[in-house]
Amino acid sequence: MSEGPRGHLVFACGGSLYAVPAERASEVVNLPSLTRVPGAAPHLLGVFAHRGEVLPVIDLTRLIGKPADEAFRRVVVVRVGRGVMAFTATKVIGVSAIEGAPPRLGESGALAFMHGPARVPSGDCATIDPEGLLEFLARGR
Amino acid sequence: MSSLAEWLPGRARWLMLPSTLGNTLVALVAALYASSTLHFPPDTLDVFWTLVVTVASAGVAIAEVIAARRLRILRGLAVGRLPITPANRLRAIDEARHLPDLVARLGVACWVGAVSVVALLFGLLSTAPLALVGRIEAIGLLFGPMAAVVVGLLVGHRAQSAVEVLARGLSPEQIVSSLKAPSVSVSRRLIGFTVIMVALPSMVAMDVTRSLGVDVAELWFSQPPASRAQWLASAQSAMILKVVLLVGLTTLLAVLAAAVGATSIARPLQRVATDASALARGQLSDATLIAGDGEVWLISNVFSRLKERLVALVRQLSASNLRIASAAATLQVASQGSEGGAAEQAAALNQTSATTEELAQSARQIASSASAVQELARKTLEAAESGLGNAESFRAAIVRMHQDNRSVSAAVERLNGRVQQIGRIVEVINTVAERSDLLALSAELEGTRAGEVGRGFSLVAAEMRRLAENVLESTAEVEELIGEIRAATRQTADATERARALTEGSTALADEVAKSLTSVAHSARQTSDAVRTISLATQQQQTGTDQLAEAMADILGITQQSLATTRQLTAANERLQALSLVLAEVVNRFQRE
Amino acid sequence: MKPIDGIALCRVGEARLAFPCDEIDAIAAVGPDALGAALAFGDVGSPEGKALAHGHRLLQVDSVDVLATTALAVLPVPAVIARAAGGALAGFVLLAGDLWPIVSVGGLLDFLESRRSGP
Repeated sequence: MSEGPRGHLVFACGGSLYAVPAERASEVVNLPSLTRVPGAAPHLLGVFAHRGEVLPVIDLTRLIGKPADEAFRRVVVVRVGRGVMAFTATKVIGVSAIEGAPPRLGESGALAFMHGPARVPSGDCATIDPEGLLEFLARGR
Repeated sequence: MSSLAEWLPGRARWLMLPSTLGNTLVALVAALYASSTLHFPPDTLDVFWTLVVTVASAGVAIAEVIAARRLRILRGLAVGRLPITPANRLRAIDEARHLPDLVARLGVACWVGAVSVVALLFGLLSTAPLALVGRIEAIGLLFGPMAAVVVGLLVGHRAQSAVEVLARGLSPEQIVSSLKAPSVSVSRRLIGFTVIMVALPSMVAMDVTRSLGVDVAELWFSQPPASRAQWLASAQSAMILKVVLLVGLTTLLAVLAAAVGATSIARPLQRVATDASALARGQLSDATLIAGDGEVWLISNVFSRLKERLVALVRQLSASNLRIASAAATLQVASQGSEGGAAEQAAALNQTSATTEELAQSARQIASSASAVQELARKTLEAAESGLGNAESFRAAIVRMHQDNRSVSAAVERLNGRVQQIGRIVEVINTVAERSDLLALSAELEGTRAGEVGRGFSLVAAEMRRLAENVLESTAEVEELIGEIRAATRQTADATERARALTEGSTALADEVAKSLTSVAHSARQTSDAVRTISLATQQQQTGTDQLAEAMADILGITQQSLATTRQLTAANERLQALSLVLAEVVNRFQRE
Repeated sequence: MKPIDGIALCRVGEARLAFPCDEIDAIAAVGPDALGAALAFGDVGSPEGKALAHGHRLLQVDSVDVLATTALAVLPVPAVIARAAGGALAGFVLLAGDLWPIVSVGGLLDFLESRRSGP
């Protein structure tokens, strides 16, 4: 964690704002048709091939246990050291600088890897810790 | 007939029985008379009685045989040898009718013969003096005719009943025409009665008195003179007794004969009287023969035939009356029907007359209405002609509107096409903008990752992104506008479509209105013509109707007259029926038993 | 990743599954003790279909097509889903733009059995 404001890609999903560090967000693409994965958790909507790579799509709304909202049109591709994943997005707001580190949103589960609230021009958002979340997800089933 | 068959057996003997009994009775009286008035020598009395009995028996037998031969038909019917036919019955009636006469004549002959035989034989067989024989002969000649008359009357009495029984059921006319009228007349018979009634008792009384005188004289002298007065006293009563007895017996016989004779005349007359009085009371029984002798026969015959004809007449009358009654009843029904019909006709004619009057009135009304209608038709024609012009201009307006509408529709169609093209262009712009957005976003991220070096790049990328987003917002607005335009054009298209249908309908309507108005004008013209015709016709009709009403009144009068006539006929018929009833009553007065 | 030779392309409802041919003993008719692959997607599955025999066990799918192509390139499994289906997921092949998950028959059967018996 470096000091000072860091650029985050802010996007909306299911009525909430999320932000991922801009250096982890590799690109934003339109949501293609997905291939379902056997025995996968409900928040894993499926996979799609992108640039010779298989990208798993994660529904953030379901992940934090909120009712599903299928209105997303795009996915934000996030790349960390261990792998790659894509988050569903209703609307991509843009890159905003977020100062400091807000506290964690929860002690266990996926919320343990989200911090907030963080102020962005569009409102309050939750910042996602991509490395931790990927680890958490890969540890799961 | 069965009663006749039952009655017949033994009737011949029954008819002859009075003859046998009467002759025997008179013979006994005669013998008694002879024995008490004649002085028979001793030992001759037995001979006399033997002779009397023998000869009398023989005479009776002979008489019966002769009589039986004369009753051949009756006996034949009685034993069933002959069939009971009207012809045989007529012959039997003839036999029975002539029997009394025969018996009387036979009786006289037998008496004379028998007395002569007895006297002759008595004279030859005994020592009796000739005077005695002569006396016997005289007594026989005295009693013979009397016996014959008595027997004849008795048999005649029975013969009358026999004739009536045999004649039962035969027409008196038939009997009378087939039988001869009897020969014996009532006057002759009355003379005979008188002779017997008067002469016989007188002669007997005279003879008895003479004989007694002789006896008294002889005995007077045979008595001693001393006891003569005493003897006379004792003999007087005995002599008186003898006279009274003999004369009484004889008188009795005479009275009996006279009674029987009178009865044989009176009985038929009584029957005639009874029947006549029954007839007078209206009891009309079937005519039967009443048997009788001489003029009585004639009277009873005439009466029977009269009665027979009366019965036939009453029967005919009754039958005719029945026919009259039934004819009258039929006539009554017919006349009643006719009366009803005439009444109905009169009522119908009354109604018709009223209707005709109404018709005449209606005709007058029509005539007055017709001119009003004609005026109305003229006005209608004017209105229709002006309406026709209006309809034409309306139609032209509709056609223009239709054309305008069509051009609007085409314009809307073109607009729709353009809008679709705009939509497609907007879509392309959208896609481009979206891609630009993503590209800008990626560039921004990329710039961010490049740190301070990429900062300017990021800013440019962000600007580009904003631009793309602006474009996207604009295109969204354009899309919204396109949606609105589409909705509007759809509405316009719908409206023009409706307008098209409406104008088409209106054109048809205008055509129809024009057509209707044309036909109205035509009708009005026709109506005007027709009304003129009607007016003319009504005037003519009015005259005709008035004439019809008059004719109707005449017919009504005639029908009422006919009704009156029918009523008179009915009344006459009722009177005829009443008359028939009276006649029936009269006929019924003769209660036919 | 090691290329793969010969796979069975199966459809289960809307989902796709690819099995290595060398793991399939036979393709048989559906038996009463066959385990439905639809269960892995949380579906009940249709009663008809075909069964892939693996040892004495049967896996029921809706349809089977065999792709005999050798040396098919296999895409690796992302870390996020490495544990999916009890680790039965072996990789992906891309055929005509469609991704097909390559699944071990035995591993899937194990997973299905554990899911049926477990909570």
